[in-house]
Amino acid sequence: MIGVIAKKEFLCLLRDGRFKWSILIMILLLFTAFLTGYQRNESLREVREAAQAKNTEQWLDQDRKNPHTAAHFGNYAYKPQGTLAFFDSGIGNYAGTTIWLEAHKTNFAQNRPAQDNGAISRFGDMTPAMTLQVLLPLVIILLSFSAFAGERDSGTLRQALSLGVSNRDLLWGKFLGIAAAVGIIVVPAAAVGGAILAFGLPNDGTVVDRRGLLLVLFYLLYAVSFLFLALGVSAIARTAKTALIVLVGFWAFATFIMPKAAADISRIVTPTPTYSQFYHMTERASARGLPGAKGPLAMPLDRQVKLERDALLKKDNVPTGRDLPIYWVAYSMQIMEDRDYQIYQKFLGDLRAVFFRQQSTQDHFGVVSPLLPLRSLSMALSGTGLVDQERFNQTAQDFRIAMIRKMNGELIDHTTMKDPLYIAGREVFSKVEPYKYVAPTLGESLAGETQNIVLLLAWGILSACFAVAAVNRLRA
Amino acid sequence: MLGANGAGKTTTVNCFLNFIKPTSGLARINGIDVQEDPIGSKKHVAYIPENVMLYRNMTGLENLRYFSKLGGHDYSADEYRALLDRCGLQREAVDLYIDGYSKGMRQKVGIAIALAKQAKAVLLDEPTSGLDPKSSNEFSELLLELKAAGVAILMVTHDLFRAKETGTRLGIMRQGELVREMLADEVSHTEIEQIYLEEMKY
Repeated sequence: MIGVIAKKEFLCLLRDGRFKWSILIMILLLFTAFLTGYQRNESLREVREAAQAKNTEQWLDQDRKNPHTAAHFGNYAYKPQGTLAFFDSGIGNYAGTTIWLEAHKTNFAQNRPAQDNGAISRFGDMTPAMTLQVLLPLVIILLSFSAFAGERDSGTLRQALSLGVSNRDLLWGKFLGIAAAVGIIVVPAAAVGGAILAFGLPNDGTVVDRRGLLLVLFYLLYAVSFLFLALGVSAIARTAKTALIVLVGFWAFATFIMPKAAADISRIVTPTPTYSQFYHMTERASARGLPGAKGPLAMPLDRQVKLERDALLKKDNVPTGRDLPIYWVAYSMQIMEDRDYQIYQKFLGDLRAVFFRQQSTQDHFGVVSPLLPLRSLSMALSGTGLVDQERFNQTAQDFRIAMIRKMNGELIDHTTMKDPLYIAGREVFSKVEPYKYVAPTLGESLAGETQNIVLLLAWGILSACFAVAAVNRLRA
Repeated sequence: MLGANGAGKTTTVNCFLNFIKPTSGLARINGIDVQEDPIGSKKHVAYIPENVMLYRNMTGLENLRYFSKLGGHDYSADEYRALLDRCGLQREAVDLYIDGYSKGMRQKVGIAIALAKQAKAVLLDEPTSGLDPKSSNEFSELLLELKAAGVAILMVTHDLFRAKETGTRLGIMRQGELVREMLADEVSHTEIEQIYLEEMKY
């Protein structure tokens, strides 16, 4: 019985001119999204890989010089473009991709891809993820709003119910029939996506297949939620027009208004410190001591330096710094680097906590819009979310302090107070391993996503319950 | 069943189909309470409304096949064609979309749907209103065939003449109540009209 209803539903949809057009447009959009996503991904990936390689070469090929001066010359860290970023660019467009790592200074990631876009492309890139998140629900609504209400309007529902069809059979039949029509749209596009993954992109070791499978699962859950919701509303609404208005209203609320509002509210609840505030705080802590810290970090910089110097003098039993066996200038520079690294770790950690709290505030709004949990999960699985960005920021800073320790260490090891000159070349510079970004594992990517998985599942289950309840009181 | 507009004839039919919940009383088809077992009770009944509504993106044949399957019966394409032929639908219209059908043509598909169900009882809600006299006559012939085959028929109509021709018992409804019952054989056409007008005076 369900099969009979599904087949008829599918056939009628395919024969409907409006639906033919919406299906055609959606297929075109998805194809375009996949191909432009692929093309953009490839160009960004090539640029970054080339830049990272060039950077390493420049670092090694710099003139022979004092290793500390070489650290001033510095290194760039580039965040590599993950394979699945072609599907969902996540926050990648608005997050920095390059960090200059130099002596004495901690820099933020720069070069946001969005900076290269003109004013016209403010709407953002048309990624496959965005097309599926925003347009797919609309197509589902257009295909299903009249499922019950339209038949009630035209009187065919009366005819069908008079024959003794159960309401549930009708629901499942319509569900499957419409799902098949939506499948006509999505399956070819998914095939293109799969083909791009299989043949067009390198597997960067992030276990793309498992992530891809989960992406399919979550998007499926999202689509099913909208389908059940639309069928339920269609069963309750008095007319097809009412159903359409209610559903399109919800669509606009869930996919346009809520994501924006959630982002704004999260910033009001947990404000992001401004760039100048951040630097003011860190500079102050660096010079005068970190409030609330214990030990040397709590002291002003000059006191810590003096303490360390006095300790050295005592250890070597010499009266002045000039008599120390080591090159004190290099040694003290490393003291300052280590101090600043710890202070920045504290403030960068606080800043990261702000971002994650904002993310968590936004995630709470997943109760009213299924788009929010899906969007977070999609970014996390595509390797373009906050976790990935922060992993890049952190590992780049760790790379920086390791590089400087190594260079200053070389200087300290090869100099004395009497003979402070030390010129090094490639053989020393090559002791700094090039920066390499290691993406989070699947478990790490999903570690903070439990709530979103639960929310998305709840949307699927509750919308199904709603649809069942709605058809149970279905009236002709 | 006769009665003025708003007398409650369609409501009665709706009660049998469980489209309306009765405030009191029971509606039973083949002994089955329609409220207790709406699906089971509908197995035994076929329904033809005043306006048979069909899916406009499907042909007459496809509509018949779909509704027939919903009713629990399936036949071969030839059997469906024969059925539509028997109900008087022009052969060339069978494979056309419902969009181009007149009311009469849709009614004929509706009759075919009801026949395909092979139900023991048939509910008819002004099935011939708007049909041309020839089609109306053909429909009456079909009803008599069903009657001869032992099918119970409840027909709501304003056509006193056809009521007398096809019916066994005639009832007149007024304000939701059956106010008069008579046997069709025992009254003449003129008597029926007189009784009807008399009842409508109140």
